[in-house]
Amino acid sequence: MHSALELDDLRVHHATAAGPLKAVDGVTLSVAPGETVGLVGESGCGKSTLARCVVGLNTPTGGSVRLGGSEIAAGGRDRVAWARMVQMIFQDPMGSLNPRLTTRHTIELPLRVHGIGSKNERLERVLRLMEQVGLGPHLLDRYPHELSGGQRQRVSIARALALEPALLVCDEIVSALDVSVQAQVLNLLTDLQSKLGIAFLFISHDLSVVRYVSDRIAVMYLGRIVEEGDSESVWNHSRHPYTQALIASIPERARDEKAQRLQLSGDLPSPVNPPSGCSFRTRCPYARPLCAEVRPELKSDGLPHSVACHFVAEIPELAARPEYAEA
Amino acid sequence: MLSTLGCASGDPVTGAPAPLLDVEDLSISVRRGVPLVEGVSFSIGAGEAVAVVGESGCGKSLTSLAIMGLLPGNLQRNATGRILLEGEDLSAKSPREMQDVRGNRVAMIFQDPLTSLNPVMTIGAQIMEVLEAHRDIDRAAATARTIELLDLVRIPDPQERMHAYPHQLSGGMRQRVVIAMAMACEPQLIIADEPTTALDVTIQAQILNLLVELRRKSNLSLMLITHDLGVVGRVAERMIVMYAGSVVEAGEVSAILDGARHPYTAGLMAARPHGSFKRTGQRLVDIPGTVPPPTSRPKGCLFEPRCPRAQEKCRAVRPDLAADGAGHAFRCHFPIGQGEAHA
Repeated sequence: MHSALELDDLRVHHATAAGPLKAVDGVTLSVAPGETVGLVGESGCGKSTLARCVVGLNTPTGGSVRLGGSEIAAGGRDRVAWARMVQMIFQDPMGSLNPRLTTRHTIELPLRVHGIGSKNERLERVLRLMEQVGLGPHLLDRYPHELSGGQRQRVSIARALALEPALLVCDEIVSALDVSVQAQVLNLLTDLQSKLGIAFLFISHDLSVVRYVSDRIAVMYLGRIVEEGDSESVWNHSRHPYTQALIASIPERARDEKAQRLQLSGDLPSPVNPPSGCSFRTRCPYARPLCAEVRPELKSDGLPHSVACHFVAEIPELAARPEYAEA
Repeated sequence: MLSTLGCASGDPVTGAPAPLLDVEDLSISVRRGVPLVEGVSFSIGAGEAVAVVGESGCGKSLTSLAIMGLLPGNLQRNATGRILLEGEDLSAKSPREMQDVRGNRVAMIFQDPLTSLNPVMTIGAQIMEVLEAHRDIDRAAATARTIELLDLVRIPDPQERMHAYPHQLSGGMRQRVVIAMAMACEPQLIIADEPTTALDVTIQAQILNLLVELRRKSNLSLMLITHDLGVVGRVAERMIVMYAGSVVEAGEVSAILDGARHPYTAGLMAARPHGSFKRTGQRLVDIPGTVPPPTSRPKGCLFEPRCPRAQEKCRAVRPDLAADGAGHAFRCHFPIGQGEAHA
């Protein structure tokens, strides 16, 4: 069986006056059917650009995107077929829903564009989708401004499911929601996945959320994946200093002063002029001269997941440090 | 609208330092019968950090704007209750007098530094503007103080950086500038409204560390408004949980995080993603439904329509905020027992 998504050495370089901005710089990643892969990283690491390549909103400058085993050519011709295989849900439902379309028309639109069903069949399908995402039929003729934030996000999810895609790309879809509503939407996603067998590429800056929903986690920094593998393995046995810093920065975990030693100082370097060698070395407590010369590749080295770091063998796991023991 | 909720007696401060800020029975309405904030009372001691926690629309930001005297006119007219700063009633002050309070004695940090900074002024000029508005200070002294402030918030190379414009700084650096502006006149109280929500998690950790450090250095009181329970434990000693315009639980942070008594607080904690669904198949405990809008709040307990423990009494009678012996207050007829596992 083919993977729902295969990215091979994906590159997106934008030309700027100061030189190429390498938003995504050689990412290889696959998502199996029915699997959830979490992609985590901070603003500017390239995770949204990557997502946009997967759904065809950005054109890669190198590498390939394969959906369900077939390569999708950048550019218009396969656009319709593409949309049937992958759909995307965005962070802000108020920004991604047309304010002048009712729930019914929003969810029906993809079916109309793809010429599916008669008018009555489409209405039936819209109602079934609404039921699936937990929206009562009384919301059928409401406009987005008449819905709550959680309901709006459910409408976006229903719209994304309308064409029965094999893969859903979720870009920070719970970040704008309150905690209690966030839990409702996360529960909905996991329910939908077990019922429909959809694969998710789940993008978030919040490692706790990503760990909760994902089978595998990929951690991205400045356009590259620095750690990738089984989600519990990445969470419990993270070895890349960046992943460790992300975990150490989760407020609940960073209770005492000792814990702060692993937190990062400084900001993300500019992707226009990234550091030579390992791009994390300017903020890394373990950096040595080799890191400036040679860019480390992802390798597993006997670990249960892969890490892109020259000195991975010397970096103790967080669990080995008492201040990070699971609360 | 005068609230009859007896929360002044339920003030959970016992043996705490003399209060710097006292909010007594604050209510804010859009119009008669549509209250946004209802009978909110709490106090913040000198040097104390108090977190105000709640979801969007619970009234936490309105409460802070009321303290600053920054409510929009229509709400200001419908605000009742008292706000005392060192015993002085702020609600009785004229707009001119409030200008002396703001920035000087109470300062505020907002969520998004890009909108709270002026894009066409250098950061140095913006900090100096604060100093010149409140202090009788000459240019050279203001410049020196600006450099000192930028250094205080750990901005490297302050002599150079003070000439930078906001767009030339990263999000974390911009929030440091906002904090420097708030610190400029050495206020007694800083109100921080979601100061790290717009920041990345590694930068959030840096800013929280900075706030903790500044408090320790300068005996500053802090009112931290946040929706994130994780942030609370990092920064504050006491916390207030708000729901639909009312305080539903208040007390020591450790007491509440270890044993919330109000079902809403317990629900908020349980709803945070934890563990792995893929490994355990365990669904998150969500809170069904949504917050009731101010136009149709229930007569009884505000949380009753969403509460797993609700009974007949909850529909009929709105509970008071009552404290246990240890200064832990909660507004619930059937609170979660001590030692009872959170549902």
